[in-house]
Amino acid sequence: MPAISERALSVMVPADEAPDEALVARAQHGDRAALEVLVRRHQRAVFRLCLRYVRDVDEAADLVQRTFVRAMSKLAELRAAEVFRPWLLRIGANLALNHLRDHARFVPESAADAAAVAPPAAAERLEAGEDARALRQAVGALPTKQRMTLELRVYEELSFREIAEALGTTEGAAKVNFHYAVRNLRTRLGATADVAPHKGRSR
Amino acid sequence: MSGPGPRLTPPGDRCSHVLERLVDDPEAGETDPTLAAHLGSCLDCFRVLTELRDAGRITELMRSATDEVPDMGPTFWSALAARTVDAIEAAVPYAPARAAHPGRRRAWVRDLARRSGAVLVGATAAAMVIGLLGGWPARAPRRAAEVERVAAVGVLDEIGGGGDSFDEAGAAGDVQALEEPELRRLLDGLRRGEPEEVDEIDGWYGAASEDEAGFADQISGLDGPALRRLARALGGSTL
Repeated sequence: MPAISERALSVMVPADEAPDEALVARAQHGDRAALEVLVRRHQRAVFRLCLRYVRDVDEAADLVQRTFVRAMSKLAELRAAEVFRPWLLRIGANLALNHLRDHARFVPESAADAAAVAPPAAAERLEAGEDARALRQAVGALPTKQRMTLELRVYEELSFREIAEALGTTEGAAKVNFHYAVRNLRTRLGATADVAPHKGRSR
Repeated sequence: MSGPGPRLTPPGDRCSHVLERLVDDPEAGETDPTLAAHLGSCLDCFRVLTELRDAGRITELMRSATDEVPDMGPTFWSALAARTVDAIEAAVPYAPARAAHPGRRRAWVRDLARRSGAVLVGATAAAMVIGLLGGWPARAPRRAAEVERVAAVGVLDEIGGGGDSFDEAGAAGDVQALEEPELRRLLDGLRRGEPEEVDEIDGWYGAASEDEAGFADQISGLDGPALRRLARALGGSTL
């Protein structure tokens, strides 16, 4: 099958329907429409991810902007254009983590905050809220790679291959990181399953 | 991955494959007889299975524990996208900022070519008239660059008379290839070489009006091959 030039592709495929790899190539050649489609297509995912970290809409929006600028300026480092999205999310996560590190004192995440915002009569809701908060804290305390792996898997529903591409590791390592993350969370939150083999099954 | 307790079989490649398999599908330990047999004999892998069975529950908890992303509305997303694209254009060298208005440079070149062409046509005519009238008053011998200028005017004459044989497409390509500094340097040199004639010609063709008043000042001395390229290019669009 003969190769299709980018120019031909841009004529044949509307930007809104073009795959990421085609849009990335077109954006690299100065196609503003392609760049806008890329931004519009992925900005919500990046925003969601950043918001989970920084918990502030304005800061998350700033991080979205910085994420795309960083990505487009480092596009040469993208190994394969088809993993643009996970790669973008990785950049967003890294920037968000850096932001947290630099502005740690401004991120509210404490039991006192939970009590302050919870309706006083809603005991069940408070309990659920505390559980949720404890879970977020436990996730936040995971080693960075484990946390990124877990969040990319859970929230962005990436395959382990995509996660591996995003984090610059192997698919096997991504699975191991996911397993470690799950195990750490079970330990921190209290496992419901029986983790002791000698108590669960006799062998 | 290892923990306390007896190891019934040594870990190896099989165990790593089991981990990968269980991460993909924790239920595989019950549906795959070979895997089930290994899990029955490997304590480490059985522990991994137990841990990963909680992955689904943890996933659900994480999704339910995440604060709802506020509904930002289409205006927010449009503004954010526009802001982001602008930031990329400002920060990234190859970003669309330079190519977003590809007609801008072409228009500049076309405009300059149009005006320069008019000036050079006039310069050619003036040179011919001056030649017919017996030349300039006595002056110091011409420098080498000035000799080249005369030769260039000759090139213009050839172009003007070339008619159909002129390669317009090639000339247009030359114009496109000229960078602004190079073109301005050439024109500036022409201005230094023959300022009076340039001013006069400029006036004939009305190029020195308002914002174009400085155009005559941009005419620079014609020099060598670059001038020929320019002359050919301008001839293609104007002569």
